[in-house]
Amino acid sequence: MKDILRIIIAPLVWLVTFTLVYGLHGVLCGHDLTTLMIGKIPVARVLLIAAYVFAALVQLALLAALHAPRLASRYSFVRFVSRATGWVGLGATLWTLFPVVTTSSCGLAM
Amino acid sequence: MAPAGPAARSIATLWWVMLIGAVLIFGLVMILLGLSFRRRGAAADEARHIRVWIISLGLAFPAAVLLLLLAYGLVIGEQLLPRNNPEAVSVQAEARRWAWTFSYDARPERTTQNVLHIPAGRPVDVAVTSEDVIHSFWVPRLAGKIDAIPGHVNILRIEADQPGTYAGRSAEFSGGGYDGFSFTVIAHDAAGWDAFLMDGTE
Repeated sequence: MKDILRIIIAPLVWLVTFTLVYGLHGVLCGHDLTTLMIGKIPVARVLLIAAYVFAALVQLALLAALHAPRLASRYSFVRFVSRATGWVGLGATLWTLFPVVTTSSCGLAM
Repeated sequence: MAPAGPAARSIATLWWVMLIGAVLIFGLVMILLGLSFRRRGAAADEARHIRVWIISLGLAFPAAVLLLLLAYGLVIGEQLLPRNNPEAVSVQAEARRWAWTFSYDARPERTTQNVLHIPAGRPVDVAVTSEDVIHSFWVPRLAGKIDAIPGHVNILRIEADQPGTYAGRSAEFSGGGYDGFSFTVIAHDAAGWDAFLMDGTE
């Protein structure tokens, strides 16, 4: 059971963070918060970037855990696959969340 | 169906870039697939094979191509958004089953049914909404599609290079009368646009 968890944890966390970040994006659009500024700081952009960085850090932490001998599986096949899916989770997070934090939101030009 | 404005041209270019990229990659993959069936001679260097075939061609190559196409798509997407432009004209498009009503900021009391008048050579921001179900505003030769959503306004920038008449469609099925659910965009030259705004008739 733990080995299955090791293998699917990174893609599973990517699934969750993907949903959360795009959900946050939807909430910001739905409540017209994309133009809200505190001083010269665009609140929505900062929140989205913070969520992106948080998602990336979670994936990095998972990857580090999957590479740590103490937490790694005793089976070499599981170690290889779980580390591979760990890299996939990190790559998927950086790749698929990149547009939501770098491009314009809600059909409004930055 | 030649593009007749900057937005449609950008979209057409994006489509061609994507198609060319897809064809090149498909061709390369087919060549590699063919090579994989060739009988191997002497024992191969396994580590080198993994490096070349799996890491370089199997992972790095598609990742690089997809990254480039993604970046290009995002740049084009940004270019299509309505930006501040003193030349821009604002109009409203309200859909209902099965007709479009257009109104004009330059002359608020003026509305037209199923015919949108715009000035040629100037960006036009169309504020699109719906009063019943979801429709979609699409003038293929001028720009991409945008949804008309009840209770929500989406803005689409269109522009026609030259005066002329352009066909528009609702690109979202909406029931029984959908087959005739179309509209026309008439792009006027400067004098024609002024005359349209002054004139009381459609």
